[in-house]
Amino acid sequence: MSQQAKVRLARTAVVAAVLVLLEVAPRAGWVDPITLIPLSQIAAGTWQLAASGRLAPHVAATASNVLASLLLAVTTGFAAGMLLWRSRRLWNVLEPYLATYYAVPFFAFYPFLIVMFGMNRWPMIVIAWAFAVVAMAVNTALGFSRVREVYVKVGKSLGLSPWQMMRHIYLPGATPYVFTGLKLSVSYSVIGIVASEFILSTAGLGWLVSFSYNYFDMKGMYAAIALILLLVIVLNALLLWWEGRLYRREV
Amino acid sequence: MTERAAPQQGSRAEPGPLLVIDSVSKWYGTEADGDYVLAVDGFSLSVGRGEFVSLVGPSGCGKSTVLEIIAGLRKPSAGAVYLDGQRLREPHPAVGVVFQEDSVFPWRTVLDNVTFGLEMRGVPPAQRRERARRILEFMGLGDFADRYPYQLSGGMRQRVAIARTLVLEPEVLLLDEPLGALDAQTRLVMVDEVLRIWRETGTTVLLVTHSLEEAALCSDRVVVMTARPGRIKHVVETGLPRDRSSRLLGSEQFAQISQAIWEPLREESMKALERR
Amino acid sequence: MAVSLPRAVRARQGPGREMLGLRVLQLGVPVLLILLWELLYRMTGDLALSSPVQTWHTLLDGFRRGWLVRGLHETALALGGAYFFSVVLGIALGVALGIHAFSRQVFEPLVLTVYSIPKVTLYPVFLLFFGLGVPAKVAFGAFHGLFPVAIFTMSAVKTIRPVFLKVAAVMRCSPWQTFRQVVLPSVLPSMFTGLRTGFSLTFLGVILSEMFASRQGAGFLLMQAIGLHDVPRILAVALLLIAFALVVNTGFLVVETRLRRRFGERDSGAISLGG
Repeated sequence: MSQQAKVRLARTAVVAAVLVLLEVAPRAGWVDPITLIPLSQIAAGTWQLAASGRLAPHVAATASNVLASLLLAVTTGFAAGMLLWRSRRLWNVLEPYLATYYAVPFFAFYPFLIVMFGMNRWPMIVIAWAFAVVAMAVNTALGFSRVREVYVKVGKSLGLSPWQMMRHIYLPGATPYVFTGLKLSVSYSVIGIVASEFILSTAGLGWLVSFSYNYFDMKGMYAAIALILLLVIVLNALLLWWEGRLYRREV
Repeated sequence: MTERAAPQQGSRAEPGPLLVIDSVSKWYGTEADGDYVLAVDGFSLSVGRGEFVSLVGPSGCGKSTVLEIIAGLRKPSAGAVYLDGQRLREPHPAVGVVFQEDSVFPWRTVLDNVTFGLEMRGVPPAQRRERARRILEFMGLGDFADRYPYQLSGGMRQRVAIARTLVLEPEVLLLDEPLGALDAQTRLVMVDEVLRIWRETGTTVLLVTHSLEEAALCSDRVVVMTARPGRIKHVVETGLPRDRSSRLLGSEQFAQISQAIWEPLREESMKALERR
Repeated sequence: MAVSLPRAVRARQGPGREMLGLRVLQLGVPVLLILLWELLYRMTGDLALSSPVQTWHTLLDGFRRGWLVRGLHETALALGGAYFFSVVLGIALGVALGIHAFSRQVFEPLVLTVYSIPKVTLYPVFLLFFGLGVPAKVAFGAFHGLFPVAIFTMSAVKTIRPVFLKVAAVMRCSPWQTFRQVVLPSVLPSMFTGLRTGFSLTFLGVILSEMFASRQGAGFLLMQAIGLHDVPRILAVALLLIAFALVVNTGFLVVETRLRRRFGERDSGAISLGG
């Protein structure tokens, strides 16, 4: 058996063990079955929830909010990143702030944003945007400034126009970093939206978890949590697959 | 025999030299700021059509700077470069460059790398592909057209880089230590490759190298530069036949040429070493 | 090719006047933000926003009358406990996975996946296990913060240069000498980056858990204030939390920069543009 096959086998075993433990622990009475319900019941609950049609509006709410914040973050982040790349001075001024940006607990601003915008989707979108935009901007700036100098020299020695340089040298050269920014933005947007929904909202998958918890509907709560985890795992797998295709070409 | 007289402008009797570098100097910073560095000092050289000239010197002597000035990638602080009597101020279509570092675009296939320059110049797709295929055949890369660079060895990638430049049919081929990143055996194989290209295309080659061996095997003339600031210290005429190859390596002639280059080069390398 | 210089080195190279100008501009950023805030306040009015001065007075009032101090006390308690566990568990996990290549290959994608989920939705599970109170916050905060510690430690241990270990072996160093002289200096700077990020996330985890369900703490104060529609209070607490996070993070960064310089790493984990 190849090393890779062994790794894959072991990983599957680990995941399976965790799943089995989730099933057996409450049934065997190792944990209170009110605290943790068996996995099979969680799965059944998730299926019921999905089949009942009750879920659709929440999925739609979460998905549209994530998409909106992601779109905003990627466009503004890319533009800001280009600005940071072009202006050395701007970068130097902002650098200490960018380095500490992710230490800021943005969610502390969520109540304030609710007061500002009202109880609608905008406070969530702003939080998720703020969470995602700097990762996009920093990675864009890094990507463009780390395009290998020799590629730039090749372009210049061929007498390319500024537009051709951008389109054929800088943009493809910066793609790995820009993609990393995009990937982080997706993660951060999801976290920003779902966490905001969870704390205080009226719809969405995050809200479904807190709502079920508050009404002692453990089955519903676990079903919603399972759904969120499933969505994130699928999203991650997709991004990883896409990235793999992208990096395959890089030396 | 040290410095050659600077060529006279305007007097283009007979077929004059193709490339003329006239008292080129390059300095950085200013005396007032205390960061003044003179990198190249009054460098003059003329290269005839079809000639193979090498530039050797200790690291940091400004030989790559000279090459980048000819390529139009840097502006000289003083002096000028002429191609066929016409002053060069920016990258010229008839001047091709191959760099030391791996410069093949990893996001394009081999074929798309070779067509890159033609694409940028607006050559129609069918025509540029046809020209690229011809060059790839010529370089022994015919079977690799659809591969991505990551699937090739370092030596093969450097061939792609050379093909990408050759396809533009440059009159002057500037090689900036193109074999510097390769292992010793691959280098010798590539030396023969470079010589074959030079013979069969009739292009003019200016090779910057830190390898005495490469310079001695390839060149009609070898220009030895001083440690910084870079000046011409010595010029060696090799008198090698046009049909030459790495087989020369064990010959008496090679030993003599190497010796003639190494004497002045050794002196300058010692100076560069002690300065650090 | 251009190698990016660490910030401190670049700073020392620049002529003094230019550096001073940069510092002034850097200090101008918060000033500009406060001015913008004031401007926004004048435009929107009292209902949505409180002015910087009002907020400042609310903050002082919170300290004088004690409502803020009581809240912060509980948050600090939970944060201390949570950070202790994220560091201990994170380093243990990181070192184990860093040393043992097979386990790393097995667990790395799993750890990265867990790192990227919105962990706060799991908080109710912690509540069910630990009940409402400090233990649930400690457990959740630790869970929220231990992953970056583990991930950075793991990659630091993994990337010790093999030639250093060979040198130690050839010189017949004992395991302790190898650890003390080679392993520790190699991993310390990157591990510190993990500790810094881990602290930020632990803090965020504690605040989030307090915002969701709690009867005390800074997060609770925020949610209480929104119930009362008390804008100055929301802003005062939020800004205090942010100021605290920034101060701690800057402290970590200073130590981290020193470590990197001391242990001679060329490329820093802190972001820097190529020159």
